[in-house]
Amino acid sequence: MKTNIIILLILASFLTFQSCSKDAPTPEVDQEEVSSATLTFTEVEAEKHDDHFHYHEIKNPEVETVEFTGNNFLPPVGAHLHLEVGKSYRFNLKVKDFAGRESQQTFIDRADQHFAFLLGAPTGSISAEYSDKTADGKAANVGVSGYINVLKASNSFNFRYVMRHLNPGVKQTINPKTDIFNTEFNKFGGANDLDLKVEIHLVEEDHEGH
Amino acid sequence: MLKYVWTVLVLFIINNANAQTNSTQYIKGIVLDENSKAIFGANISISELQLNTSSDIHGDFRFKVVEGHQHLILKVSALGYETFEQPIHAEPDHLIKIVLRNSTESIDAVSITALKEEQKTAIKAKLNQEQIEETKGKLSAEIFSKLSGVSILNTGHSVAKPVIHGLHSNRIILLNNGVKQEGQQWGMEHAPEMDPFAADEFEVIKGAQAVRYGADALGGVLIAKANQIDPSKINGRADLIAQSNGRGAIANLQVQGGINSIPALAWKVQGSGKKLGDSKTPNYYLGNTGSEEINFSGTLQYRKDNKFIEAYYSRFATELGVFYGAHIGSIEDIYARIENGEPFEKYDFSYKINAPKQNVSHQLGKLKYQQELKNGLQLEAQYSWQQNHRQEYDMRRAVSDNVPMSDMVLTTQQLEVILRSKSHSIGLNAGNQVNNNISGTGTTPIIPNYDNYSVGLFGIHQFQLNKWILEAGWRYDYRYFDAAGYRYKYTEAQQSVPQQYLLEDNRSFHNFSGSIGAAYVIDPTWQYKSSLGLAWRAPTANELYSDGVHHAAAIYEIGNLDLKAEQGLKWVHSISHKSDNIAITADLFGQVIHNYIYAAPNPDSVRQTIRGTFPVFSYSQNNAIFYGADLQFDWKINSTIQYSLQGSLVRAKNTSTDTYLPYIPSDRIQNSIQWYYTENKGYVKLGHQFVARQIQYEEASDYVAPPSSYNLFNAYITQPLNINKQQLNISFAVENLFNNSYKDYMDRFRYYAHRPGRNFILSVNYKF
Repeated sequence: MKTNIIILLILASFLTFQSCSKDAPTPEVDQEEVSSATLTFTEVEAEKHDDHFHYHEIKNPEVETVEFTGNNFLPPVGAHLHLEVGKSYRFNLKVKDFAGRESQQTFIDRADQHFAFLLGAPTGSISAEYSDKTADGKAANVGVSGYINVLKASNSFNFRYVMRHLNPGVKQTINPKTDIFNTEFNKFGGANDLDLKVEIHLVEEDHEGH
Repeated sequence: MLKYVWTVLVLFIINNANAQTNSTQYIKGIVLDENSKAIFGANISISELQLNTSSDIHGDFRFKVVEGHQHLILKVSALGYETFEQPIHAEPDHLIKIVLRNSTESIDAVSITALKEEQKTAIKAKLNQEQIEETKGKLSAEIFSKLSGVSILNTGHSVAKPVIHGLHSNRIILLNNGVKQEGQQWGMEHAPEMDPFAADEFEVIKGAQAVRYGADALGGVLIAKANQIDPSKINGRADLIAQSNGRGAIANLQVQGGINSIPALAWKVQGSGKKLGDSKTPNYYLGNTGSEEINFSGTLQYRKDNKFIEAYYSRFATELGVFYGAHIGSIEDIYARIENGEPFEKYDFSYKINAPKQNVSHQLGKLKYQQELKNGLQLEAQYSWQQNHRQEYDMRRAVSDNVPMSDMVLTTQQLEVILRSKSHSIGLNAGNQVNNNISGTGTTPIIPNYDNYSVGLFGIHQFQLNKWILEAGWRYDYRYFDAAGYRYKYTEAQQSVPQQYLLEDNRSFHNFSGSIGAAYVIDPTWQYKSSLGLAWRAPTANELYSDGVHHAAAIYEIGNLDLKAEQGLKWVHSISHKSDNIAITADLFGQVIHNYIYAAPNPDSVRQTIRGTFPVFSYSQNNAIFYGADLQFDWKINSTIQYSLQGSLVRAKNTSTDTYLPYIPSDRIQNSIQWYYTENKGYVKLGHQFVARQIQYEEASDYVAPPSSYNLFNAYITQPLNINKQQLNISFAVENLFNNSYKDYMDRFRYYAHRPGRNFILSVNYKF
């Protein structure tokens, strides 16, 4: 019996020597999450060169900005952007992580897996091209920044900016000239890193009101 | 081409069958104790013929064998008696009388023997040796699914969880070499972390077995165990398996024996490895579905006088890719894939395993001590330690894909002490579990750090009345749970950064469990069993505290701190018949679960994260009922041909809402015909499986209706070759013979892709 007790004590001692309680939890700063996003449309001057445009800054440009915050990344109540027909705008995306740091560059750093789709505008009402550059100066074709040319007026529509995190190999199947407005973006396998929605109204010059 | 193969095989079978003569020779015997009293339930096996049976209430047993004088090794074992293992000369109509002596040293060399003895009334099914050999190299869940009443829940091709009567994860228990396996089994995409090569036997107990095994055993218990080691000789086996689908190979080597200078000591070492690339459906490769495994284990057994000591250690490590096409971020994505019917993106074959992927290692160690005490008492003590390290990787943006999104270490210790007499057992079970999230993932963990302390006291009592064996059990469990982890406070108010806070919570659960069972020997060929068990389980950490995206389901899960313990009452009836040529087992079960926990959609609520906009699911609980039946039928048509049929049926409903529960296996049957074309156990087997469409589901409760029914055909041929005293087996199998394109309701990736297509498997097995 004495032997049994000794053996049981040896077994029980394992319980004692092992760590029997949890570590104090460490708060993580979520690297992948985005706490807020801002889309800014700044008026620029477009200069046509054959089949493409060159864009130039202008003085006192018209600037439209909308911030998406909160649980569901909603714009402020009643947010409504006016973009004028015949004008061109440079758009920029800014996102902040859960520590409040700007992190839109991370999309460009992983350009092989990211592409933004611009959805909701009536067909033929706008044209767009992306201007992101990788660290070595090459076209990144991501859509963190780019240009929009307003071609014709339209009723208000829900503009949707979808930043797609694409599965390996999918980016090569995207044509950055023709797929920017592709409503079947779900066919490009991956997940939506951002899905921002705001009402936009394409208006003639000197339009007033909503 | 294939139809001609079938025709040739069928003709070959018929031709050969006609050429055979029926055997009528039996090996008959009786198992007695030293007082010439019959021993009921003794295990009798003949390994050469892969025959196994047990003695009836009169101690009688018999095997049907081929005609002629036979030199065979007969093994007879029963709890409390020395194992008999000797060559015998079987002559027609001779009765072998086996007297087992009371044991003073081999009371219970393997714990399962004791478990069987404690649970004579439990309803069980066990794989035979041929089935085990046929499934070498498979995932553990795939092996268990060959048992009647057990099915699989898949997450793609590389992750499979066993399901007993519609219940899985924390509602069933897996006993891995006598130790209750503790991994992160709450996750539907978390497969059991065990190497099937380390086990020699696979068994299911279908009743609610909480009394013996503690909380969580609502659905039943799966048992994987190794045979006893014979220290008198060195032997082992080597397996090499190559398969076409995945273009990979699996290897296993195990050696066991003793040491001449320490005759009481036996040892065993075993190691296995696996490398598979992307698997393929009939029409396309499933990108990033490769897997790798490196596993090893070691056992030491020491027997002296009336003592038995065992030390066991195993390490399982796997890296497995998660199908690229399941990387989705919204319901829109799921619907787009469902409409397309197959993945949009197609990949060439590759062995590379990229994010998303899982890296999991599981270590298990145990120390076991048994001793025969005075007055016929037996003492058993077992301490076990497990450490499960799970890392899950995803395609990231801000940091490298090599930084895990989830990095958890779960450490579990269990101590169990059991005192047994001939008819009674009393046990004490204590456990400690610690879950820690490793920092540096850059992601708030989905479950917090926690401690889980548990203690249980149980007793099992047996009574024998003529042809009846009655068994009753009771158990009391207490569990204390202490959790802490950071969470985000999401509010509807517009704010740029969600606020983080420390969630601290502790709670306790306690519960009584009970069981009663009966076994009735109707006659030597018919037996009836009934088992009624009350089991419970405490809510798991994810059900209480989860707060994050469940990627594979494209939902955002939120735990519920108000959850109470689940309680289930399961009643299983089983009637079995075993005669010379026919064996039938029919099981009928019903189970009510009070406070059944499930994730329910939170209407009109969505949460946007960097990975998309997900519907919010919150954990809730209702009452549920499960019922159904299993059938196993084996028919020896003649001495060379046998037919097997297996079927199962499960129904499950949420009785509070009168709705069907999701992810319940649909009705299925599988049958096979097997022809022994040589006298040394070479055989051909043709198998068929039919899985019906699941029609017991709620409209609009899923993204898409359950997939259609399907039929699968498989073929297997094995040829043993004797080289001196060693045996070389060469086997060839074809799975999904006709390369059917199908989806399975129990595959959580059925929204995105089909199940794998045809697979050729060549196995070489050398036993020395």
